[in-house]
Amino acid sequence: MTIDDIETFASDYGLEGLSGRNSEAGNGIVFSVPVRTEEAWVFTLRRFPKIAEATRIRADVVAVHSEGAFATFIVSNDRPRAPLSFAEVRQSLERTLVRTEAFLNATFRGKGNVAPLKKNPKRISVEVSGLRGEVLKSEGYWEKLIIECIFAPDERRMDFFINITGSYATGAGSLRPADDSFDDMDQKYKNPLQSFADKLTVELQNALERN
Amino acid sequence: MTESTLRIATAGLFVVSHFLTLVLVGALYLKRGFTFEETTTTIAIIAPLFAGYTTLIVKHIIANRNRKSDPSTSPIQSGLFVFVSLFIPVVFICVIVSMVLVRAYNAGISDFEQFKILLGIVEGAFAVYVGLIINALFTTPGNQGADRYRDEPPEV
Repeated sequence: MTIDDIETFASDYGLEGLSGRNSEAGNGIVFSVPVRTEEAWVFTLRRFPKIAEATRIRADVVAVHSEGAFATFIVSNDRPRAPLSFAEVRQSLERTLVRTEAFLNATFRGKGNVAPLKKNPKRISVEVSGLRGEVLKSEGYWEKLIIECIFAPDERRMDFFINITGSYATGAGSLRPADDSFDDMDQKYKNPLQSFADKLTVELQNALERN
Repeated sequence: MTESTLRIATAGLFVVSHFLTLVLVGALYLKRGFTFEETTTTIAIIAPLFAGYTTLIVKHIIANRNRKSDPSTSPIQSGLFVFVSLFIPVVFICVIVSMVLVRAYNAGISDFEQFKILLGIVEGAFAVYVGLIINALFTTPGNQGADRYRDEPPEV
C-alpha cells in the first residue's frame, strides 16, 4: 500500500481524525481507535486484501504520578472488548449504505432515537438512545447503543462488520436517565450484547439481500 | 394532645414508615428503578437509619407490654412540643422517601453515588433532632421509659 492508498483507506473509514502515523519500523501505519474497539478493528482490517497484517500494539508510557491521568484508560483496557459480528452480501456499496441506514431506522423505529454519529464512504456509525429492554430483555433497563457498520467491498462480494458498544441505566418511569448514569454493558452483559450483535447482523444481511 | 397519644402517633409513624420504605425500595427494584446491587446498598443505608429510632420505640413497647396506657391520666403536652414531635419526623420520612423516588425515576439524582452521599447528609442533618424527640417520648431518666409505670400494679 502506498501512502496515497493509506490516506484513501483512512478517509473511507473515518480514521483520519484518529491520529494515524507511521510506525517506528517504517513499514506500516499506526492508528489510534476508540478504546474497547481495538480488537474489532484489528479483525476487520485483517480481512482487507491489501493489508498484509494488522495487530494491536502496546503503547509504553513513562510518567511520574500518572495514576490519575491514566486511570480511566487502565480500567477501560482491563474490560472485555465490544462485541463484533460479521457477514457477507452480494450488493453494491452504494445500495448497501442506503439500505443499512434505512434498516437501522426501521429496526429501532418506535423503540428509540437513531442519531447518526459518523458517515464515511465505507462506514456508518449511529447512536441509538432511549431503548428499553432491547438487549437485556429480562432486565428492562434503559439502554444506549453505538452501532458501527464497517463495509469491506471487493469485486465479487462485500463483507460487513457490526461492532456494538452498549450501556445501560436504571429508571422506573418514563424519564430518561442522564448520560453520566449509564454503565457499560460489556463488563457484565457481554453475552447478551454479543447475541444482539449477531441477531442484528443476520437481520441486516437478510434486509440487504432482499430485493 | 396527651403524651400517650403523641407517643402512639410518633411510634406508628416511625414503625410503619420504616418497613414501608424498605418495601418501597423493593418495589422500585422490581420496576427497574434500582439494580440489585443498588437495592441492597440502599436498604443497607436506610434500614439502620430508621432502626436506631425504631429500636427505642419497640424496646419501649416491649417494656410496657402489660401496661394499658390511659390517655385521660397522661399529661397534656405543649402545642409546640407536639408540633415539633410530629413535624420533624414527618419531614425526615418525606425527604427519605422523596429521595428514593427521585433516584428511581431519574427525576434529579442521576448518579447512585450522589444518592448515597445525599442519604448520608440527610441522616446527619436530622439525626440530632429526631434523636432528641424519640428520647423525650420513649425514654425516661433511669429506666428507659418503663419507670413511670413502676408504681402502678400490672394488669392481669
